[in-house]
Amino acid sequence: MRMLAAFSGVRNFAVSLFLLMACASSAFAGHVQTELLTSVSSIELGKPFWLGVRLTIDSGWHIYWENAGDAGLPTRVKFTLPDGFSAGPVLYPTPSRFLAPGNITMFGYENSVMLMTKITPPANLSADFQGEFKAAVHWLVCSDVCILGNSNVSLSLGASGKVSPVNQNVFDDWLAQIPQSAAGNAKVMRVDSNDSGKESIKVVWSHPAPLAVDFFPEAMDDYNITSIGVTSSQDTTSITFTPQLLAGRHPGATTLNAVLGYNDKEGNRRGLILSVALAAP
Amino acid sequence: MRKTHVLASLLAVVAVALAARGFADESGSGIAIGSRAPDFALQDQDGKTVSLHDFAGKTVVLEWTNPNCPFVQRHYREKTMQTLSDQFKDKGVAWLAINSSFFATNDQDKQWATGQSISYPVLNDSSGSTGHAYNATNTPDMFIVGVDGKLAYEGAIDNDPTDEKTGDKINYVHQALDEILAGKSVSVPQTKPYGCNVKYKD
Repeated sequence: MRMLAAFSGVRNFAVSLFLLMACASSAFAGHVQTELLTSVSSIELGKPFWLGVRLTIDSGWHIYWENAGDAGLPTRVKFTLPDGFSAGPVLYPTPSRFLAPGNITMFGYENSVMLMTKITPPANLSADFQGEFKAAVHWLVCSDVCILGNSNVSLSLGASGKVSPVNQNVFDDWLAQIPQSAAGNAKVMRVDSNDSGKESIKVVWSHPAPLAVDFFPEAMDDYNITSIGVTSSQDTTSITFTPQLLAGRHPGATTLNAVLGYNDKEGNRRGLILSVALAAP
Repeated sequence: MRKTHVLASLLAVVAVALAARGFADESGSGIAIGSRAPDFALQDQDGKTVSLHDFAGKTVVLEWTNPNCPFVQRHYREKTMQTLSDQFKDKGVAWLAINSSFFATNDQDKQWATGQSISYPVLNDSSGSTGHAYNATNTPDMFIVGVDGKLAYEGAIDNDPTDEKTGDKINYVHQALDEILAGKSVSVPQTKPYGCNVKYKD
């Protein structure tokens, strides 16, 4: 399979594998393997389930979060569902930071990631329903060079089979990496903003500050979020950043949404959602 | 929870009053729109030294480029840069491509320029010094220097990172050059560039 990937280059080299229980299909393109996974073996009337696109990335390469950072391109998934089915937002697990020469900061994933969405079946689903669920995936994968890639993956799922969870560990692992609200974990307070435009936020944890804490701002139309600094001591993490207004922009008050990433005691990647109100400049 | 001092509520919306927003931040978006564009002296694909001050009194477009980057390749395939530079050449607008990749060589720049029918200099900045002076982050990353030597635009070539737009596509460089030549102020002087990160040496 790896050899196929090497020869296919940027081109989409789709291989459809319908695994009986897992109901997964997968595809291979340069340096990234994609597969579509479902959380159920069969659809149960009135019960939402998960679809996830798992991207497996060659060692030494990375793809991008929904905010790529200073450069790069967000990884995107577009689901196409049978009539009557609806999808929630695409959920991105807590990313990592990549710092390239020239102080270029990027946010993304290496090794593997799963982008997920919750699917709600229609209320009037017929008992003999069988349908095709599709995902179109687009990414930019970079190491010393960057390569655009895309793939189309799909799976067939019905409502007449035995209902049991599938891929449970995979979904549990990745859903736990979706950023959560801070409740119970940490308290967040604004500390200061100074004349040079630097903002400070303090996070007081309910336990000693975890390892690998990092701050991932979502993309904003009118600001570049620059000079991100994160330091932790005892139970406190201090975050500083500078929201730089793009020239010629005149936004009103707005909210900066961000993810505070960290590793839990077992070394699992986790994230908290922070919202920072920015006054009109 | 132990300490009860001035902590805001969980998942607080943190009120942050924005103080004056400068562009002095060195790790941020580099030189400010309206400030003087740094001079440079770099070799083109034929080994000839080209400086920004050679074009004093002209409007100059600087295009950060990397022939290996798929975003650059797409714009050359679509002839975005070649067409735009040709269109404004007779109106006193100079165009310089700058390759700050650590692996850039004059020979490779020449081979690429010939293959793409590029009529403007492709400058070798493999040391990255000019890229750093402008804080160019992406390929492509576009800068326009006005006749006064000051930066008039910085950012993306257009509003279409994923090459999907048709009717609502805006080429920001085209728009800014039109406005500059009409004696107007640039309505969108800064956007977020998109593309590959510039492959700097350090």
